[in-house]
Amino acid sequence: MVRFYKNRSIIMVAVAAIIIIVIIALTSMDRGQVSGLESIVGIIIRPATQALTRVVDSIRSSIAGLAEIGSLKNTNQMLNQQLIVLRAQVREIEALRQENQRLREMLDFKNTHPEFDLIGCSIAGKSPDNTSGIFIINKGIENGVLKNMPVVTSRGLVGRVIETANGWAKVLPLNDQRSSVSILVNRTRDTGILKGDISFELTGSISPEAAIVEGDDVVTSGMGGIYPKGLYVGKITGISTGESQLLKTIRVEPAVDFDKLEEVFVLRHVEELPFEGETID
Amino acid sequence: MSWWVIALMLLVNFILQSTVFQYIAIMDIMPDFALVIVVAVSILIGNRRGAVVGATAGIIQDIVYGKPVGITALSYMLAGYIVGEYSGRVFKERLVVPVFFTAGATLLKYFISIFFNYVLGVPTGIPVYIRHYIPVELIYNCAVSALLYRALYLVLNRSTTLPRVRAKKRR
Repeated sequence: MVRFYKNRSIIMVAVAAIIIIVIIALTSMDRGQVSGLESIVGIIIRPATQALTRVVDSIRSSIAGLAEIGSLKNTNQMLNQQLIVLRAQVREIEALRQENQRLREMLDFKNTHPEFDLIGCSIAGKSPDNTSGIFIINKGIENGVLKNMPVVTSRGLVGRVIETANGWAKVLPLNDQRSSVSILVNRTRDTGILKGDISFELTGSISPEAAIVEGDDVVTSGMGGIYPKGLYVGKITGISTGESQLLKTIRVEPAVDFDKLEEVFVLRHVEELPFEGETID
Repeated sequence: MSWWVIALMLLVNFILQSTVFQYIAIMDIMPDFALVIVVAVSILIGNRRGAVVGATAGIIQDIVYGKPVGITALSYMLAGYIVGEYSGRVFKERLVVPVFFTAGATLLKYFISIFFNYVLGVPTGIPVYIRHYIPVELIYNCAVSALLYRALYLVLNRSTTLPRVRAKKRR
């Protein structure tokens, strides 16, 4: 009897394992929308995680505010010293202002890309898995959020929607190891590929002839069919040539701080162009 | 009763882990509280129920955050089953038991994750796993297990309708 009981347990677990492996295989394929059951789980979980995320964010900002009170005197002294330095930096600021203006123009999608609509979303929760960057947003199919729509903030590109449901959607950020994007170096117009990795850093490869330097701005190239051309990604912070010298490897500092994302925008194409090209796996 | 306790514990943990606990990450790594709970529960309630608890905890996490769905469910289920299978041969009151099982379950979880990433063609970056993710999470999970096991043991053993008792009767 004991042996039967034990064997039955092993068989049950083996059958369950096979079912789960089939689910893994099915869901690893490119699918835009989650199933009805998954959608329901998300609808139950999301309000709680979203409310808690808001509470934690507000607590964090209040703690930051309280900490400042204690150090106001020091801050005042420090600011006086900084004023002298800052005056000398006015020219530099003017240069920065112009750069800022340029970046704003680069990002101003409402004006430069009338074919896009911005859907404002807040982050409802982040993956508990340490090796995954996936997060969920509080807008889904009924708000027009569809698979492969780019996700941005005012600073730049965040990633793309990989699966949607009613009331929520999963977003794969750029720095996740499963993410890749076709890029363009804004100054030299060289194109390349940028990928996330397991350490959540952005590394890419680019033609060895590219006359790029550290500090160059990187934008999306529009190739691949998912991200439109000209979305700001970040700055090049490292360039190295591999042993084979076939490609230059670049490291890019993203404009977006992925750890501090609170509000994001989903870019909706008004004409609903058919998406094609990149796949997740 | 204790099923409800376990379900509630896993649900609350899941919500906390995808929100509040994101901010207590040290070296960008959070302890896997869900795995710690699955291991502790499996020690106390045995293999079959351990597997059910593991699969349930994993599938919820997978549905909301996973791509593809099922990898976490598979690793938690196997962890729950294996831990439950061997729990009958150890002294459940001793703290070294959950710590040891948690370490094993953490390694199993990463093995399954790397395996499926490899099979599905995701760049795995195994050196980073070995250098960073696995050792740091192993230490965190074991520490959390050592801290939480006593409390979980008390909560689950206090219930008179503990599934473990029923399992014994059936045998």
